[in-house]
Amino acid sequence: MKQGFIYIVFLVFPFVLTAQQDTIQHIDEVRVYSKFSPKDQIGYRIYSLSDSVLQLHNYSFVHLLQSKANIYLKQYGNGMVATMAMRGTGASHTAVYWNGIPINSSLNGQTDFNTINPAMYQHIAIRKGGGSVLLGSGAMGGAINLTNNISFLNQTKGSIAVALGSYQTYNSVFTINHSSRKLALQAGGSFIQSQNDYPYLGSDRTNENGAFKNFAVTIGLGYKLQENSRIYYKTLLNNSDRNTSGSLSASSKANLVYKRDNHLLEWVTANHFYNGRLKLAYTNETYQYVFDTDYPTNFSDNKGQKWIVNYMASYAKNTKLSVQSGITIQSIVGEGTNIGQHAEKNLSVFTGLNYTPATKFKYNVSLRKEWSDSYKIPLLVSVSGAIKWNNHWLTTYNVSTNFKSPTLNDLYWQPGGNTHLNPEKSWNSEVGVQWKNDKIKMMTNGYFIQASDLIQWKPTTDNFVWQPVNIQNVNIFGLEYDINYNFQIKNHKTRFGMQYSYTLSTDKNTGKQLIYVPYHKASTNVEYDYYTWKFAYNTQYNSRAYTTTSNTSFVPGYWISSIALSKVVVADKLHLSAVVKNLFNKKYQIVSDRPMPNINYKLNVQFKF
Amino acid sequence: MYNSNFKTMIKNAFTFLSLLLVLILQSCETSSIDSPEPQGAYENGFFIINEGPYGNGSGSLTFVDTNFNYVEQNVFQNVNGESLGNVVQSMALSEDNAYIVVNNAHKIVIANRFSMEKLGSIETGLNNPRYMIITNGKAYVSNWGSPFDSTDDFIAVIDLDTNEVIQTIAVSEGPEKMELIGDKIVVAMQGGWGFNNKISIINTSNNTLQTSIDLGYIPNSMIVKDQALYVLSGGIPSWSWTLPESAGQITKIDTDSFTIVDTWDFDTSAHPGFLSFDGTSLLYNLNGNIFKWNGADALPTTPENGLGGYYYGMSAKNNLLFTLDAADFASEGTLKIFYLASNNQIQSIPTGIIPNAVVFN
Repeated sequence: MKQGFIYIVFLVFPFVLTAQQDTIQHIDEVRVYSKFSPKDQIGYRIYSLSDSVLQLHNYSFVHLLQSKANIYLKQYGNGMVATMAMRGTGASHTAVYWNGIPINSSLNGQTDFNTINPAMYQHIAIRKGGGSVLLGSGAMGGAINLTNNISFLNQTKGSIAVALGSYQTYNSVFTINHSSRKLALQAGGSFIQSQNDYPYLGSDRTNENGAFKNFAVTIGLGYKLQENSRIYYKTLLNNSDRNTSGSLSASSKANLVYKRDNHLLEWVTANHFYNGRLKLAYTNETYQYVFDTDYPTNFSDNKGQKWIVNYMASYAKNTKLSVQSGITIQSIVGEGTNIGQHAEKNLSVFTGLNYTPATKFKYNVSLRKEWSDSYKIPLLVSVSGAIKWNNHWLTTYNVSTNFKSPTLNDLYWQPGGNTHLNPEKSWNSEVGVQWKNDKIKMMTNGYFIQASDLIQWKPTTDNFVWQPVNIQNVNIFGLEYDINYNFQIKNHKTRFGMQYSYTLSTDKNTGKQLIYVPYHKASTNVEYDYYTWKFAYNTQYNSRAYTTTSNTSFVPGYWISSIALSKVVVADKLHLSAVVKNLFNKKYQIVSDRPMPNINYKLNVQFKF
Repeated sequence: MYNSNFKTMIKNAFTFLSLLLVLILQSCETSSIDSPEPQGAYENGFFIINEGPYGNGSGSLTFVDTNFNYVEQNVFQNVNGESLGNVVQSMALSEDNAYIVVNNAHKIVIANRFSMEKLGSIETGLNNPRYMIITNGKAYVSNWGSPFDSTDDFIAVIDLDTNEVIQTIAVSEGPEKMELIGDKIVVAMQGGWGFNNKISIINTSNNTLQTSIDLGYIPNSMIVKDQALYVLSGGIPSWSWTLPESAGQITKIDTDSFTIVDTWDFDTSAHPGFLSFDGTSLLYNLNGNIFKWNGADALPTTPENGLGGYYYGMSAKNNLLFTLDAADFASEGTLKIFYLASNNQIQSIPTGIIPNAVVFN
């Protein structure tokens, strides 16, 4: 008990007294973790996905993001590359972090969400809204942090899950936590493999060349030097081997092997006033693309490496005032068939002030300056805050400037790479209103993003070679609406959640909606618990997404549902669950000419110890 | 206070639910706008080849009648209820059939050239097919092969009775456009994913590579005029990372002996394209301008007034110039037709996505 208490104090301090987690935590149990610590998030929306939810969705991060956080993902067929359009922004405008370390590819600036198995993490936070001041490059639409928590609880716990699904899908996940009061080990592994040869509804064809396998191992070690000083080592090894599936309009024999390893050494010290974190990190990513698997020796091979040194410190003067500062040195090296060899160095400093002049009112002001040896980055500013009117009503607001660096591909891809690129920029502003009582919570957020100098690959007049240029200006106006309703009658527990978003993301020059950004997206979750039984129903709606910049062609809107039934057979020992996806067997596409699966099933057995 | 708030909230929630229902009902929609009924007769007019959206989706054909009165988009889709496939590169015509080369789908779709009804497809033996030429019941198709192998490029020989690849002829990197001259096929070795500087002569009597002729880098277009073959080479562009920038060139080749008769060089930074022939003059596109040339004198230095533009495709016929503008390469393009006697634009016709050529039926 005492250990747990210290653990909480350790991680939350110095903000434990002022943190209002209910303003920002929306899903399930709350965990407190590094990087996105609540105090830095005043005025922002955070979706917090806990361990239990992550274990349940051990097969698809994409489905989890769509259903729980109502985010649109552009998926090039089932299991294939999946990128995010958070709040109507582009694929590289969601900054993704692994234990606080940026992991968006330094080659293309994106994260492929189908390479991430959520069951490898104890906590995942999704932050919507501009976050470059705190988080750096890329957080124009939002940010995601994947966290491995290491605790010194003097216990041994673990689980093994095995799942079988349609299209010869086999999935297994194991986790283990072993700790004394001084030393802790946290490890996990996952393996997923699928033939992915589902039939295309309404045709006699099946998904060809779509087989994939993904293998990941994570290891975390923690050592308590003193009560207020800890050292951690965390690592992730990931190998994703996918044939890239054909489509209605083209066959494919291609294969993409994506490998990543992340290493992090972290030293944390804390007392009642001060919290400091030193991070030394190394990440390495490799893309190996075989154009035709009949000729496996013909491939392109591109690699990106990052070295990061980061120190973040927070100091709380009292319960009303605290400051946080950080410095990061980053070195990026890219190398490969298409980009040659290039290096890039960045230095950034960040400082923020949190002030709570009255219990009902608090705000944060932050600044960031970053220097790169390859391009100029403007000074970034953010102001955010929250006003708690009474126990029911809360208003949040934020204004920020953000940026996204050109990627190594943008700068150096041959042919076309353009070394004269500037970072992309955006102005973000947002107002949120929240109402809640003990059963219902409702939130409405309205935001406006003015993005400029967005990098687009365009054919040049010199033989139409495609070249990136800072050309696009985009205005995004959006509304998000959430309602959650929980009630319990005796042993019948019911949770109802609905999320809806309206996204108007227009190219300023043409006035047209951006391609692959649907206007409307909605997700509804109904969960019902009765003793050891749990039933969940999710339905998602996406309106049409345009496929031409003139908005003349589009993939139609669709509506799909899934159900899950689970049973705790032996408490804390044996859990069974069954999932049916695309319950009503709807024919739909996310990306043009790439049909998504028909009705499909999964059975999952989980042993705990 | 609590109660009234609560009621309002519930009311709002219901309003929202109904809105959602409307959205869901709305979702039964189809994915193309303004598709007219197929006319079913495409004898008198021409097709525009539309490559289609980059990366995903299908290319298409646009039909325009001889008088430019009737324009139909998505012709093949309208007639057959299916799309052509990813990256429609080119089309070749036999007496009765149209052969549509679909590059990234590695296939050739066969349709009746007058009704556009699909007759079949050739899907084996091709690897990144580009262009096709027909002679004596056989088709010759240039193929780039794998992007990571510069030595696997070939010409596929197809028997048009069986629609099977009966032979392949290995060639150097990047075979592209072809011209039939007697029983010889001249292949412009444009370079594919790399750069090349040759034309190759295929002898169709024994289907062998007879000879290759070195000329300017990136031969991108060819015209036969007065027993001579004019090859326009674009030269190595400024963005090349393997070779230094080089000048564009026009090479005149005797079609009997297949020897170089004459050459004309451009400036090192000038990279012309789209050599065309309107019946009297040769035309080409350079830096957004159109130049007219008689095929004998020094290259012109003054561009034609009123014809300029950064075109993705261009051809001439009967004193008319057809230019294709692919706009932003992610939406509909435009065909502009100019009357070459006066250089007046006489038509502007919307096309599909990324139009690259006009094929006269």
